[in-house]
Amino acid sequence: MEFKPQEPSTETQKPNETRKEVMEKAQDERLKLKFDAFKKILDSVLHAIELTPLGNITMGVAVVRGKRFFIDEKLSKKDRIMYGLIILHSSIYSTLFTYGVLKGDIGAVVLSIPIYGITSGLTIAQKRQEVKKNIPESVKKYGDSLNEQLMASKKTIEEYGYEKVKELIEKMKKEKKKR
Amino acid sequence: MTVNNTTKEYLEKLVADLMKSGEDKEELSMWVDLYDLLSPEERETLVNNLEKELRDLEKLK
Repeated sequence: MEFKPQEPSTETQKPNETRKEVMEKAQDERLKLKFDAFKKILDSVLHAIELTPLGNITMGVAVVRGKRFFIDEKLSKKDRIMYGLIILHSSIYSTLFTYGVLKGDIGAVVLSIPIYGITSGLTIAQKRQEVKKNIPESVKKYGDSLNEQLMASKKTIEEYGYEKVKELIEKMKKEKKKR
Repeated sequence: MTVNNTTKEYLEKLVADLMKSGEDKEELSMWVDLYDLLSPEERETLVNNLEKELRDLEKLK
């Protein structure tokens, strides 16, 4: 004999639908509250991130946790590639120029490229140094006025964990879209 | 009579009752997590909202 699941009666369906409506209505009413709570978390985390001129989130969290700043003394991979290309270009140019392949305007144009590269490289290096020097000053600059925010961020991150905070930020973004 | 109680313990009790009534576990757990971040007014709003939902759901039993 074939088994036929019993259809729920209209009486059963109606209360279930009403229950669902009650829940949805209550959840909607909580939406603003939820958004405000997420915003508090986001604001405190963003304050931590704002502290870092490089906008590095890990560094922001390190600041919040009261750890020392850490900037890699070595060049980043991108910088190494850039410096490598500048050196390679300069070497090719010098070789071609020495052997008289490049002359006149063409020589000047080709020469201007590595000069531009070297200048950009030096500017980036200088900016890195400035950032490195300025980070502790940036923190000092905010002074006591930021202590409260820092403590709030520290508390939030320690209490919920960084992953949870990130998760909450994501949820907040979704909620914001719903609004 | 509505008990005006905004302690975390009371919130946890409300949440547990609502979970039994079929409310979304994830959403309710989140409120317990967020409790410390809420201002006293927000806590009251939340508790009132949850109490009302629980009352409405119990009426439908």
